[in-house]
Amino acid sequence: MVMESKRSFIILLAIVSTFAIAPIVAIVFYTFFQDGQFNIEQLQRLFSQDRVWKTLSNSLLLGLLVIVGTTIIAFPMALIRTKTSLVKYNWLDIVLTIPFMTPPYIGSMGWILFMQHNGFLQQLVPSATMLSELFFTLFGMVLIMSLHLFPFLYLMLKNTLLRINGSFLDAALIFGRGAWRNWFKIVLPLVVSSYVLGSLLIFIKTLAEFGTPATFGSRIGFPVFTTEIHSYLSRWPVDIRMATSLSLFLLSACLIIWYFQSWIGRKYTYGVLSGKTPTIRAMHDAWYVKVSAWSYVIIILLLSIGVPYFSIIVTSLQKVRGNGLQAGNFTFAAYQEIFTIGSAGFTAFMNSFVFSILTAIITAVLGLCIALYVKKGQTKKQQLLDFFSLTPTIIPGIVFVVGLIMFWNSPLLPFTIYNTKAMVVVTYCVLFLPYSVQYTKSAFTQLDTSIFQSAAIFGRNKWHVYVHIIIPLLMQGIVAGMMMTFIISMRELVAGLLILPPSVETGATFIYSQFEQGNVSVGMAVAVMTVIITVLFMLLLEWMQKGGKREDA
Amino acid sequence: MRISLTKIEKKYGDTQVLWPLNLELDSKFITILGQSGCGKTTLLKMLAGLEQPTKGEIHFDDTLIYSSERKVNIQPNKRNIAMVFQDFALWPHMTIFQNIAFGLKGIVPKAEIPLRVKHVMQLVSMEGFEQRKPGELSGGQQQRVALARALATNPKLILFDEPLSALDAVLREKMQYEIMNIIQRLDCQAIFVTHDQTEAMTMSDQIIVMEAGHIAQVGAPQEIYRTPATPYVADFIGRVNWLEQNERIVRPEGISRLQSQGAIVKQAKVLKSIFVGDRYLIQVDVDGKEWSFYDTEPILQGQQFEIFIDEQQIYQLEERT
Repeated sequence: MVMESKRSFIILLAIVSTFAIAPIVAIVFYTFFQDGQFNIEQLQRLFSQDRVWKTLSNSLLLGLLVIVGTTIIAFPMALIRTKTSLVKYNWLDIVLTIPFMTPPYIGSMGWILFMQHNGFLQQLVPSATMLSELFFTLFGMVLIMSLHLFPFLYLMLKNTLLRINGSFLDAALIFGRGAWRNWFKIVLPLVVSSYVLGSLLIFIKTLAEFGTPATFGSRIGFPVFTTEIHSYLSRWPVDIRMATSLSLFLLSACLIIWYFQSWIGRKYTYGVLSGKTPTIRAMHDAWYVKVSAWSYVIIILLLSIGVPYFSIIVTSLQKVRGNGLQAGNFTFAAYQEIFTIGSAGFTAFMNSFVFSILTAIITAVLGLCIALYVKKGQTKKQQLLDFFSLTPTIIPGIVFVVGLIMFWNSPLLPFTIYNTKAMVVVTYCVLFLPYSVQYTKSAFTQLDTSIFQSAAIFGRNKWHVYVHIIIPLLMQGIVAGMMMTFIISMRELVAGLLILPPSVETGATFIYSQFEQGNVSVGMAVAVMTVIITVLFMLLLEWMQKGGKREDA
Repeated sequence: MRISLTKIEKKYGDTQVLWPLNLELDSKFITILGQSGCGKTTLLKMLAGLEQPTKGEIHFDDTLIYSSERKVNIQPNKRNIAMVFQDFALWPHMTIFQNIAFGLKGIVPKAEIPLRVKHVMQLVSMEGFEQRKPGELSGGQQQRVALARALATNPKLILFDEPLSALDAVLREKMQYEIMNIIQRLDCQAIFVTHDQTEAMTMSDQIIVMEAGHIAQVGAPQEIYRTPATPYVADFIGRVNWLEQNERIVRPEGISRLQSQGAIVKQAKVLKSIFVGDRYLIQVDVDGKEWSFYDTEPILQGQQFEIFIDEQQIYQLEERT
């Protein structure tokens, strides 16, 4: 078919390598070569600094603590959603993904506004000053990041528990001698591999996270890789080589963990899928189980959604922040401002909007071509392209951004898009291409091979088959990928901070700069708009996927 | 062992999956036969203790196993039963040895466990596979191991939940005979759930035919074939020719082209002759109804002739109350 030719492979590989591989090469080059000569002095300089070791230990410590934090939140939640009568409330899963979809910097800002000196907590409960002090430590940072990342681990654990709930557990009930022995010998070993996989991904995500360390971490003086790279590039004295070598360091750390993760995945993942899908049995909980399950869910929802959303919404509506929560201190002025055409907030928001739509369209087209070429990834070439197109999921966003800056500043290039708006769109496309590829690919793998065979027999020509059969069948996946890309492009912060041309702002950088020094109410109004769009698109996605399933059935 | 179910019923919310039923089972090999969704697996899982009946009582001999009124519910692992699952349900992280030994702990002295595992692996002709993991075995081999695991604890009753449906036709037939042989040799009973009527006919001493949450008929295979209790059973099991719809039937063997004493004569017109291996199935039109019978030779389509129905083989269905 069309996407099988050698020519299309070369074109696709060229596009993917220019945009995704070249930046990485640029980082390696800038780290090891000086004036065209191989030079490892830079690495010696890197490792001789205490600051680097401090950053490393901070990052690793944070990663480990966030694994602990997400486990404490996610594991009971997964148990509650599979072993108690709450199993039937599927809407909880949608609500529980909201924290994960909320831009992390907005979540941290909400928490800061809530907990800070004279924040909402102290206004509501004046005696809570002690809590504030306790909160503005590493503990608070781990809490915020765990509340952001736990849905990811929770969904992984829940799905594994659900799958082994079927005949594997029935067999254990019949042949086993006791509940505890069944739990330790059957359930835990089957859950543990997906737990390890999930927690390693949490670790990578924590290392790659910029939003929370930049907003909260900077307040408590807790630098990590991402914030250090950002500050080497944006604060005087600018030290590009330190930034690239730190990026390389972070990249290697992520690659090692990723390799370890996929090794575990290959070796210890069992076909738990072979377990027959369990029929959900009516469950009757004792009242105390029910009460504690619901309280747990409500507390987690209050902490992960309630507190940050309350803070940003109230702040966006306040007249004078110092006057606190009083009747009469509320106004829509901030919203009036950001809806005034030409205002800074409006322009920033519209910039984000345009960048995100362009990104969604470009990645959808590229993603479709790649998915059509890769198919089920049977040949070496297909696997190579698949791997390259998915590298941005393993490699932290900031590393790519640094690489793209280096690449597009290279004197070897005949022209450059650096310092133009096109650079922003290109960066977003590189960062978010994997989403589009993955959504389209998963739609593709759901199609039975007989569809392609019948299309090959009845279709008049290749294009006819693509236009009338394959693309319409993939459409749902493509649209889902576009919506996902749009949501995450709307909130991307670090790329904006580092590559936006002077005097251009996106919604995310606007929120960030207003929060750090400016009109916090206006910043939070833009934040509220961003989360509203995110949640709306999320619900739309959910609705689309449900509708799709019904059609298939 | 006599298995008795008294006024057992099952509801999921407002849907009645099983209507109140009474059963006395004491045959060695019992089959629960029915189409998907008729409640046969639910019935089996209630015997296993994996599902709780909404109401009713279950006894194994004189032991009360379950009672909704007296709030008795013996746990699955205390019922002295074993089960073979449709998807085998061998725990993927354990070796075959560990899978089988799992149920033996506390039943057999520790030192004897390897002997017992070896013994049951011999029974299912799977010696030498003890150290493999389930993922390394084929479907048929996993099936044998699942059977070995069930036999290991010397259960009084083994429950089979459509265990052969995941296997291909040749393997399925082979396993049918092996399961039958093994059960015959051992001191235990089997309850076997299936939707395949030939499987039920060949394997069992006693068949329970189920229809939409009700028990349609309980009896020996011959009994169910010759004297079906309801039109549903008559249609579901084997081929059937209706003399009067839902009232009187005759099976294809009761019809012949040869004249015999006291036979009923009917005019038939051939629709089709189908070769079924050892003979031909002749489909004919009789009084506007489609009938079938067997003959040694094919008959040309459209041909008309007389057929003779052995009156003794006509069965009058009982009026349903």
